[in-house]
Amino acid sequence: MEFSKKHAGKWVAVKNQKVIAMNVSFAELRKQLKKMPKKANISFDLVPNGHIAGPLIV
Amino acid sequence: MSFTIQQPYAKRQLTDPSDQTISYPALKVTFARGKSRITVGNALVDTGADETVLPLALAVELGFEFDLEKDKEIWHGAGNKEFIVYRSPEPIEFILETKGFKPMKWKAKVAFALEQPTVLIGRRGFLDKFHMEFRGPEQILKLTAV
Repeated sequence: MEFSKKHAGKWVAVKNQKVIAMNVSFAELRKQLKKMPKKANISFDLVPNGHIAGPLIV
Repeated sequence: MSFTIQQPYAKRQLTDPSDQTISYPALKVTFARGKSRITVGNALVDTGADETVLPLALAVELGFEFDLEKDKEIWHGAGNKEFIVYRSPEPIEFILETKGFKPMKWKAKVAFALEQPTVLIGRRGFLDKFHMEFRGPEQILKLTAV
């Protein structure tokens, strides 16, 4: 799956390897999808904005 | 034969002036609790992370409630930067699905972070269950259940 920079920092809904909706809020994205037909086989991603690195120390 | 899943690395375009596209090892995972199910298509596989850390928005979706002050913990990431997390009080279910195998399901606790840039899979309760191959030149991640 390839995300463009317009997806950076956003929650996206993906179906058949295509982004079908996006929103900065996961709850709002869920609401958007409720209005769409054919909601099966949708996955979600929160696309990182910028670089991510480093371990977590618990 | 042990449960084995392979997934191509995900790619994303950077927002800095370079416009570069970088790739990262990713995994499609379904998180479930009760009737709630959320499938994430490209969770970042981070062997350097002690725990699986999910954005706090998913805690709401999975039906958890936290006292934002009393339940918080402070963890550290790269550059010793502090961030706030909330541990799940009970395990959630992880589901991996791939052709040729029955879905692999198990439960483990996770953490939720207030400022979390992505869905991140860590070692305890998840990656420690697998042998992992990071095939850099082919840009493929392969996990085989132990």
